[in-house]
Amino acid sequence: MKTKLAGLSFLFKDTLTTIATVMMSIFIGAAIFAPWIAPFPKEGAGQTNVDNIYIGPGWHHVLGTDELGRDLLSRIIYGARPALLIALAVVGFAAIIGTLLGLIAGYRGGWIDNIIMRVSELFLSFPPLLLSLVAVTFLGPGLVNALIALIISWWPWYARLIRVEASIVRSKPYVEISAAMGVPDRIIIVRHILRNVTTPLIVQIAADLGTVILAAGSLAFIGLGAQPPSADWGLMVAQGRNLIFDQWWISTFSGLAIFLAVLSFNIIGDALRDHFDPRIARQ
Amino acid sequence: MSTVLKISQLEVDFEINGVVTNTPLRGINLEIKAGKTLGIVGETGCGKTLTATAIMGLLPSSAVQRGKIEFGDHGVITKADMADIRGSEITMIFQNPQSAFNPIFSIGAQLTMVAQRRGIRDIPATLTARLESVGLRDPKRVLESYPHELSGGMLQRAMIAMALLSSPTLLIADEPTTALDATIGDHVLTLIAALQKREGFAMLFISHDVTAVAKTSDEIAVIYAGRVVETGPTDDVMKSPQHPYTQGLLGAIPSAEKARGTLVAIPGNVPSVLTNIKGCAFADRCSLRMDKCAQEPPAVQIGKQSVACWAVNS
Amino acid sequence: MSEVVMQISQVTKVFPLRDSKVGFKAVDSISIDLHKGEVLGVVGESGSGKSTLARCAFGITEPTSGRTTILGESLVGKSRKATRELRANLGFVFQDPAGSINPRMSVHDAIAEPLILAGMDSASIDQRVNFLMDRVGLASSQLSRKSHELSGGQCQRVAIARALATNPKIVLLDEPTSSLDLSVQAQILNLLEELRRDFDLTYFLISHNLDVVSHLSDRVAVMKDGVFVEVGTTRQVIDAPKHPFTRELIRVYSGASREFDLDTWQDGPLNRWAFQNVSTFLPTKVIAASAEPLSLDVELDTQLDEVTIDVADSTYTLPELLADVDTDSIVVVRKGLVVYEKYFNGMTPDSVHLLQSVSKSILGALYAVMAERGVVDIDKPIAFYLPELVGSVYEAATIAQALDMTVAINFSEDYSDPESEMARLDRAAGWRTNTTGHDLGLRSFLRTMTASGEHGKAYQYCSANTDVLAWLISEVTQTPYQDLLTRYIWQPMGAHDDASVIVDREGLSVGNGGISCTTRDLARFGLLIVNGGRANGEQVIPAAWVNATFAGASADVESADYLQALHPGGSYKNKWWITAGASREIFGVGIYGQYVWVDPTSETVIAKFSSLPIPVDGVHSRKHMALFRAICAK
Repeated sequence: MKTKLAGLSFLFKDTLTTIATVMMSIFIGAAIFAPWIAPFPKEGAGQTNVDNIYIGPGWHHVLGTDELGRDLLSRIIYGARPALLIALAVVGFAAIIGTLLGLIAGYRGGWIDNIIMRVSELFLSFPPLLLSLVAVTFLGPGLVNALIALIISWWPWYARLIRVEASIVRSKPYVEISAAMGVPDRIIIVRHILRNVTTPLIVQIAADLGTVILAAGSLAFIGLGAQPPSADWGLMVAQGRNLIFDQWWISTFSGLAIFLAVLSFNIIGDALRDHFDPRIARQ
Repeated sequence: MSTVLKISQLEVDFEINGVVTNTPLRGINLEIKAGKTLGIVGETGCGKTLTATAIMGLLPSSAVQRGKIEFGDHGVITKADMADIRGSEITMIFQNPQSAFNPIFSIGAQLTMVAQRRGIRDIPATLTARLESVGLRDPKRVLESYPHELSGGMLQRAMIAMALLSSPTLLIADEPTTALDATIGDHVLTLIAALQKREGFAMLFISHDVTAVAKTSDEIAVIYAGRVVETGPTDDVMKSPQHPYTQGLLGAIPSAEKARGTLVAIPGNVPSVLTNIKGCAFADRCSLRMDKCAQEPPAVQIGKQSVACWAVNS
Repeated sequence: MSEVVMQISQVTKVFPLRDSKVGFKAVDSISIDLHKGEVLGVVGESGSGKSTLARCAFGITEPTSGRTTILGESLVGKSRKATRELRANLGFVFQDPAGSINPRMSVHDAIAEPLILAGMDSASIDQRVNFLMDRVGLASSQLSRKSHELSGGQCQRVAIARALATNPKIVLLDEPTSSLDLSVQAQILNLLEELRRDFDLTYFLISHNLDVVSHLSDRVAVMKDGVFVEVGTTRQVIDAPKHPFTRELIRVYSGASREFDLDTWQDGPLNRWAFQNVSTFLPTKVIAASAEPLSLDVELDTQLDEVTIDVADSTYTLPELLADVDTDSIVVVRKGLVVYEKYFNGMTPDSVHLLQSVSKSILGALYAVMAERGVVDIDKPIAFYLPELVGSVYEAATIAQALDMTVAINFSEDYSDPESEMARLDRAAGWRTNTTGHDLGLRSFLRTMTASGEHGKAYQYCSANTDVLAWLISEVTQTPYQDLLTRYIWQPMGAHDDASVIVDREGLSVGNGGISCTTRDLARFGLLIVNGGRANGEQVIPAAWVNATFAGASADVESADYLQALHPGGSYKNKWWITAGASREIFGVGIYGQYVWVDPTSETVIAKFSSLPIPVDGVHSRKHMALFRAICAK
């Protein structure tokens, strides 16, 4: 256990990274413990309080209230849930699908490689937002559908990354020898190829988490994400859009939440890459 | 016979934040005479390439260098002096010719850049003559080609031509034929020997391949763990090696004449970190180890050879 | 003869090339048997196909055609289980020590992999792994380590342990020590031998390093361009190599000094490099190629390789005889088509080679043109055109006598005597170091030559005669010799590549032997003669001159013993040798084995370069005659 924790020390290597780690922990904590930390949990979940609309930041409502009188801080805390969910779900599924296809394409080569790569290029040639719009047109708006749209846009990146890494590993002597011994392909893919592509995979995942949150926020902004009354940062930025000069706190703090979340994930991603890079170079 | 290069007690430490992490060169003493070739032979990590880097004044900022390097008429030279000498009076060729050329410029463009820096007049004629002198028969075509368009052997010759453009006093060759097929490498070695006869430059020939070094060098220096353990005329060292490490190295060369399973296999490994080595670095692998070996043996002259070993010199 | 454990039958592997229909033939129909307990070493350079061959034989790559059997069984057409069981008889050790082990796997797991595949239980696996670790000399504390924590030698030992895990019969060792330091290599080679004896293994060893192969192997196969050029026991191949490539490889690994010496470059072994590279150490001038080269169509006669020749109490096949006379290249043109073309010693169709005295025959052709144009009268004395030679042998000797080598001159053509006039000539030309301070340049040397009797009476081969003729013609025409050759012979003949001629310190061409050209261009020159002086529809050399030369020397010229010994009834004229007999041949020859051989009867031209270790030898001359005649007779 001790060595495992020591392995995480890179997350605190310098001030910036430490701040990012703390912020990310706060977001994760917020998402998990929202009902217990939010000052006005019911409002966070969506309950309106018409008497309190458009209260500015102050003692009672630290960040103010929104157009339906809901405490903004609570809304933002609750907004961490869809953000985190989307990030994990999209990156998770995209990584799984992409890795699977990338492994097969990279190891087998030939026509399978061709098909998988051409299909991935097909998906890549759509601007993600456009693809999501198309998906929503067919599937209807909503968080789950936004998720599906993003997964469809994201998996090709993983497929291509893993395919390249897999084909590099495939040409290593230890793979050739395994095959020569008669080890079946499926075992080679898991035992040799997969185990040696995890490093670039992890680095990519960490970098992507932030990007996905941003993408999800953009979708929510145009109404394709979580629907009212649920709390969603992008949605909240959209809702406060027209009030930016008078009730500035609604869009501003929601936008700030997105900004800080994405920033901290990106910094963690960098730290992760730096941590693994010298080891990659040594391998 | 004048001395072109003399290295006295060259030591190099690598430091991080003032703490010495490794001492790859622990006292190198070498001498190269004009027009002659000194061959440096040693295994991975012995410090032979680092010696060349130190001569060229290209050690990284984390390196601390001690000792003297004297070059030709310049006398003792510092890292700052090397900026002018490097590439003109001392030039270098490498194992991988691809690494000597920028892939996005043609050979002619790169040779021209070098020639311009050296203030050479009538560059086209000089380049053509230079390329012909290294056995490239179609100089015009070579000048127009990009590095990836030439074969390994041709690129190697082009690199030699580039190194000789400034008519250097000393040419450093670091594993010049290791990446080439044996027959092509042999031709390159003969070419270098012919050019050396014609143009009179001295050469420092570095290789892990004892046979290649023996073929080309007038004198050999054997380096182990950052120190020269034996040096002398090639024939003498090859016929009667004095230092146990040299004997081990020569005994390790396989051949049809040696019975199988009888190659000399020096037990153990080269020490990985060379800081704080007390006494002879080879002692723990040496069959002649004595108590005295706890002290660093000095280099003592035996005939024409110089050997640093208590067992030989006591 | 012990049992055959692996049989490789006519295995061919062709790799498809993107822009070509033909593809690249990495392995060309190789057959060989591997016997139990032997070490077969395949040695070759990069691109020779040795690794590809091994991969085809061991079932890693599928050959394009041919088959391999392992212990009598084929790997193809079996159930997965049966294939796996057959593969358990094989072991693999490759070049990259760290790359041979999965960096994420421990040493234990790496060695265990083949055992898991074989279905062994966990306890037995541990036992076997410990046993193997011990046998390869690794401590069991290393079992939990990963490849990046081990040295190169240790990684390779792990690879060997894994290779031996399933008790294989045959182990493929592909450059097993090429990435290791010398002393570590010695450890591993010793270990491999020990294990072979203890476990009764058979090794298929591949290396580019002849030392490694010859040390460890019982039999050696030398591979080049996809074929075995020589196979035999190690002692046979090392002590009595037949193929030129094998000899070249042995020479390279012999460790003989590569010191370059201006006094020894013509002899072996330096000449093997020097003859192709004269312009790197001597000043040369260009003889320019034609803008419209004469094309030579190729129609190879594969049967020529089977021709046998009986000479000097031995029988040789054509390739063997070529190797015996240290051939660097040979091109045979019959009836205008190239029927045989081989290059050795690093030569390619683009390589140039020194012609030595074959250069004289080219001068002879130039004089044919010059005489016909009336530029010179060959019956005039040489001093007529070069007044500064009055008082020397050339005061009375005529051009014609110099062309026919009937000048009575005090000149010893002894190549091995450093005091002979020939050696002095070489020093004057800059071909040898000149520390005497005399004869600095051909002109000053030639002035000192004296007559020994009456000219035109007897044949006396003397290289100085040719040099004086080169000087003469260039002086008369006020044109450098190389430019004359370019304009009147080289370009009209349709030369494909530039040639060059060595010049002395004053820029005067060394006409007696300084021309270098490609093999095919020399063949083109020979074609000029066989076609009666015509090329590309033009009469380049006067037909009358060709016929007169072919008629040989006049009867009242006394021949020399050494000429008669080789060619009874033969003679020398216009810088060419002519043989006697019903079917006459005409040829030019240069020391160390350079020839252009013309046989009008069979319309054959042979251009051949060699780098024999010594300049002349009666036996070598006879061998060449036999060689050429056998080719022409085919």
